[in-house]
Amino acid sequence: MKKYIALSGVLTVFLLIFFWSDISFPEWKKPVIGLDGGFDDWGGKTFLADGRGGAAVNGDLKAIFWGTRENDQRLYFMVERFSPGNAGSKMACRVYFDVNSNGSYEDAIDKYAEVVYSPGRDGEVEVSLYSVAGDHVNTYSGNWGESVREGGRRFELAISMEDLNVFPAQPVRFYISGAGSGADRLPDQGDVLWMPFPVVTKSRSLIALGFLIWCAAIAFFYRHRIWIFYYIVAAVGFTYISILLLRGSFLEYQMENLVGLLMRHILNFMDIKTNVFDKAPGTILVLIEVDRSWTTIDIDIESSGLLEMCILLGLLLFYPGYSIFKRLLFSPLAVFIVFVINLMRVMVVITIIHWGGRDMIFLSHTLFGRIVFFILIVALYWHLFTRPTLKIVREYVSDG
Amino acid sequence: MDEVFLERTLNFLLFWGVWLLAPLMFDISTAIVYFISLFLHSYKAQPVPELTFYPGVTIVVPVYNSTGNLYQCLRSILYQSYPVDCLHVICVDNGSRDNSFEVFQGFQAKHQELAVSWTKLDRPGKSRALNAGLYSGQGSYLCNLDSDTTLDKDAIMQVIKTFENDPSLVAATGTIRVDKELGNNFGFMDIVNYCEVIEYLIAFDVGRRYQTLTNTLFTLSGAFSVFRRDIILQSFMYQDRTLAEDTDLTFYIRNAVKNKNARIGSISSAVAFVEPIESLSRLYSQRVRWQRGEIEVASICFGNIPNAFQAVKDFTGRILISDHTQAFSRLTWTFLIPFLYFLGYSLPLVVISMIGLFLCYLLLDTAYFLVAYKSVNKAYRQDLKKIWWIVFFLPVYRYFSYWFRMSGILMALTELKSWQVENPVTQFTRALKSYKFW
Repeated sequence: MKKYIALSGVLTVFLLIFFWSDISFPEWKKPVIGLDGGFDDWGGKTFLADGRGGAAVNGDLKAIFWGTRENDQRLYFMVERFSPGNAGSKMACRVYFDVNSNGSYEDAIDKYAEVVYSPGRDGEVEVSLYSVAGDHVNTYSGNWGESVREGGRRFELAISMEDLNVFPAQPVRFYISGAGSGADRLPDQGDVLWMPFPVVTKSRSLIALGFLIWCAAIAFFYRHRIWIFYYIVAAVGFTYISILLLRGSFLEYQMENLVGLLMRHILNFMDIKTNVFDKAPGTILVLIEVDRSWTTIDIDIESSGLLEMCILLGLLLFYPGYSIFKRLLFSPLAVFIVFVINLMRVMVVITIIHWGGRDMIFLSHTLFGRIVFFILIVALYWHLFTRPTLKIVREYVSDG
Repeated sequence: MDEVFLERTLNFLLFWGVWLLAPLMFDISTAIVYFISLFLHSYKAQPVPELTFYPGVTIVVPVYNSTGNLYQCLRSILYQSYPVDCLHVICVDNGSRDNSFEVFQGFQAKHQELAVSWTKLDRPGKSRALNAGLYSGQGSYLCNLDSDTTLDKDAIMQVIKTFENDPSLVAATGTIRVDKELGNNFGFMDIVNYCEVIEYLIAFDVGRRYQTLTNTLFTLSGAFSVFRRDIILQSFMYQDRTLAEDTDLTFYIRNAVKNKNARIGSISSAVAFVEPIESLSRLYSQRVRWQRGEIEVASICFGNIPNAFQAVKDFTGRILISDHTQAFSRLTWTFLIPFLYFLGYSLPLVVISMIGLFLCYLLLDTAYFLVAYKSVNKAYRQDLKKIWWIVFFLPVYRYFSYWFRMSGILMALTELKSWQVENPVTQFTRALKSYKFW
């Protein structure tokens, strides 16, 4: 009976902390972008900036920011132009999308968005999406707010991913250009590669409920020694719950930043030029040696190693043959090694892109990087699971 | 749109499916090595010359509650093409509580041309029974045969011909086939049994043949194996320290003859038939035992348990990486790929990727099936043709088999050794019933 009371106490404390942390640490959440005239939410987002000149006054681009928003399948952009005072002049520009990310903007699937911004009318923006052939797809408009700050005038817009035919985490390329010949362009050469992956979160109460059911199921299977169900529920459930909690969290953000910053320092030693954004260090800019252009690599929950850590911890913490001591000893060690293995993987990916060029992005990210990661992780699993298991089994077999 | 969707699905599959695809690549590359070596070997294979002299063979049949099968087993020995007067059968009873002895008596009274003797042990245990029989055996060759196994009429002849023609061969396993009539019934257990038929076919006609070529045979089947008598008597014989006494013995013999240019192999022309599995519970129990036995034997076969890089170089290490190490990541990823839907991936994408994964495994199983099909005789091919559609079930069967083996991995660390284990569904319902509210 005492055991059950203690267990319930631990669970209650956990749940209290869980809900309390959300109320007490609002800064732990990433800022949420909205089409609301507030521009502080763009603080942690990736952007490209351009110098003054090179186009007509009302079409001279200063910067473009891009990002996604939780539980929202739209691509958000914030455009900033020079000439803050020139309130009366409309600004027209186009955002071109290479939807299949093959380097050509002429394919039937590719699209462009015609953007018209009318300053001084509470950020009136009209966005019309067209296919390359000129077929109209959709129009979005509204008074989404504007802001004038030192040297520039800003407005924001959003485009539906569904209309663009972009699936989550699909690589797309884009650039923005002013209307007419001789218009400004951002970036000046090449384009931006982006894998937009909007965070999808579940409600906290639902996660808490799932957590309680999960605890009960584990206790049930463990007590009745139904090991296969126990292990599936425990290990997989742990991974599910931790991913749901970590996705879009402060920890994920910090982890991505850490990987980004470490990567930059390590690659610097190898003479591979990279940059990280001061305000969004989870994004690494890689200089491509082939055409001396830049591309971005986003460090997300997967490439920060966080996902693999959740999986490994689930498998390790609930592996029934190990003592508590062994689990507690192995867990931090495993997390650290996964972190290092992941750094090696990202390093391989960036090195290949740096020397091999834009066309190698897919191969390096999906194949080479994953193969390196896979081989090292299997080696790690051998040392965390197979080898210790063999030692334990060997003891009891030898003892008869 | 479709084009991008397909491309996207492929990327998704390659990127997220890597944990399920990479073990598959491991299997496919193994399969390719198998296929190439077997193809090359089929050109080199020489016909085995006929025997001019028939050495004595002792067949040891451990008996444990074998009323139903013993008669068939003994009869299959009687009808061997090998001269009956060169055969001696020893039935070793290790604690039967049924009418096995009466079956033996009935057979002996009817067929006095075959020398059959009966030994009774006071303690149970298959290893003890086998050892007792092996010690009392005469002749140059000792053979063990399970009482629920029947021999093809040329089995002993083929085995002895191969041994006599190859002095380096010290022990060999016969080819085990599942004795199931193919293509007439379509019940649930029939489908499971057909899968079992193909599984054995692949294991013996592809897997073991390859292991024979590379002298890396993992298990001399407990159902039907033959040894040179002097070799087996030098070994510790069968031991009951693990759940896989046949694999344990195989490793022991291999170590004992390591430096003597000796080989352990499988003889594909010597066929024995086993009964198909009766129920899913039995299948579960069997797979748990196999997996646990594999880990137990592997744990004692290494002098020092190797690190990951040494393990890759060793064939037992490679088997463990495939069956044990990768089983862990496979466990989570099987559930994580559907879960990606909740992280924002589109449902059709996830579903089509899962179908894609199934197709990859289907392709692998079809390739194995075809190679195994090519290697059997014409009559059996005709039978196999009747159940060609079973390839679509093989990935599912393989998948369930994986979970059963995963259970074996866990039970190796949590439960005492046991030949039969209760299946988790029965355990679950029993556990529920133990609560009052139920």
